[in-house]
Amino acid sequence: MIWDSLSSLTEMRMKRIFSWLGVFLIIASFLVFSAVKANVNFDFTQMWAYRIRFYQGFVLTVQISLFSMLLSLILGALVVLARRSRWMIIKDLAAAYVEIIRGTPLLVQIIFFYYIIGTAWGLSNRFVAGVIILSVFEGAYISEIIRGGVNSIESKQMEIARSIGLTKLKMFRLVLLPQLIIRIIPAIAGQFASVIKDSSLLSTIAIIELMQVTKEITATNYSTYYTSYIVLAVLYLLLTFPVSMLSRWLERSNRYEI
Amino acid sequence: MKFEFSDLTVRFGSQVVLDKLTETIEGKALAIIGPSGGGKSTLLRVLGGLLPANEGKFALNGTWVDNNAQRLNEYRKQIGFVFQSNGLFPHLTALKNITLPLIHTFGMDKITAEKKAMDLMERFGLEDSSHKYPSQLSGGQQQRIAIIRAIAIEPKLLLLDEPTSALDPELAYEVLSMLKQLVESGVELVIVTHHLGFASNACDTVMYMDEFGIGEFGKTEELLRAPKTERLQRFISKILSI
Repeated sequence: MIWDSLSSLTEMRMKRIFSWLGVFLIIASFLVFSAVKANVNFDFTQMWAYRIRFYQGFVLTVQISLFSMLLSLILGALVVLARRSRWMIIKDLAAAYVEIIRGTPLLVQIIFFYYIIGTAWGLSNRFVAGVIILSVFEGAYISEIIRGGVNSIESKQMEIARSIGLTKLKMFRLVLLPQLIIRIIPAIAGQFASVIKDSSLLSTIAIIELMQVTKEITATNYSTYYTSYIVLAVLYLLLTFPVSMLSRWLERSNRYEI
Repeated sequence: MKFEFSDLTVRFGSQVVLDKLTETIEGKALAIIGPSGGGKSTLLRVLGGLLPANEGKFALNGTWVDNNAQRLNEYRKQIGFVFQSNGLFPHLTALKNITLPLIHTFGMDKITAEKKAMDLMERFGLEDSSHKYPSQLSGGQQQRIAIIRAIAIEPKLLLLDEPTSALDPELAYEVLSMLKQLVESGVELVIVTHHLGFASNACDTVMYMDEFGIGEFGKTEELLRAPKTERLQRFISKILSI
């Protein structure tokens, strides 16, 4: 019995591995075929010379992303609180923020914030400005994710919490927060992956992150144009893939509804 | 238990659900019966301190309860409340659902709380469910865990809002026989229910309520055998005709 189920388990695993291998082959052959057809020559050996610059750009992208994730999460949570405020003006201010940010392109926001608002208020540190701009952008989306999560928790849960005499703070900590976290983890992880990718637009204000590094390399050595961007794509995947794996793992290990 | 209502009024918008209820009701186990939409659940939520009355007040065992938030919360701590359905926290196991109020409302230490919860679960044959989440339990098991959570705090009074209405007859029986056992062991309760059988077997007092307010109340035997008002007569014959 045990051996049967064990062998069926390994059989399942083998099937999965072969399936992924197949997927990889299909994508790779499509890309290689397209490259040959378009008469593009890939020479990755040139890339080695730029390893340090790529590394520096990678580190900066990671730093910007990590700070922006943290800041956008805090900002998103504050906006949710603001939208439940007793004062109409604060409520409307928060709603306007979400609508304006979600309704305009990030590129426009970067230029507007950095060159006009940044200049007006003497914010010249590009790294700090970049993190703030990206956080303000992602924070609007995160606030909507959190708001949706809060609304999805039935008001019944709060009534049960009241019926057993919990204080407001304990209701939040013991009832609302744990259920909220489990519900919003997948969407938040998706948004974090967006933070990483969206940080590439900060190259517009000459922050030397991954995208800007690639732009600079290809500008000086045009023959590396395609290979540089492929390396760039792989490096972004290296960052976003663990985020999505982590979210899937968290989702599984915290699941209570079957 | 002894409840006194004085001009108790609850409105939802322009709809008056409880209209100046003034009454004194005494009993050990009180069943509130009557047609849907008659304000039974609303009254129970007011008595549980979950819904502040728009006007008027009520007293439990001589102590008047008003709408002051802090006093209302203190009052709620003396009451065990069981909801119609889905009354448990879905992110906590049965055991944790029961120990949560013990630990976080009453400051009991974790070991004592868990021992108490396990003892109660064993008493009602639910020890196998202790580490299951609500979604892994049957509706009847969920309700029985909810009842255990409510009685674990040793409340002055247990309030139950149609605890079996979402259950099929067999599971409803499980829950009702547990409640009967509790009543026999001296737990005082108020239950909103459609089970006239349970009301007559387990409750010493019955109150009939419909959209015109409290129709009549009294000792179960007298009231169910010889209803005085036409409203109650019609309600009972309607239920018995099914």
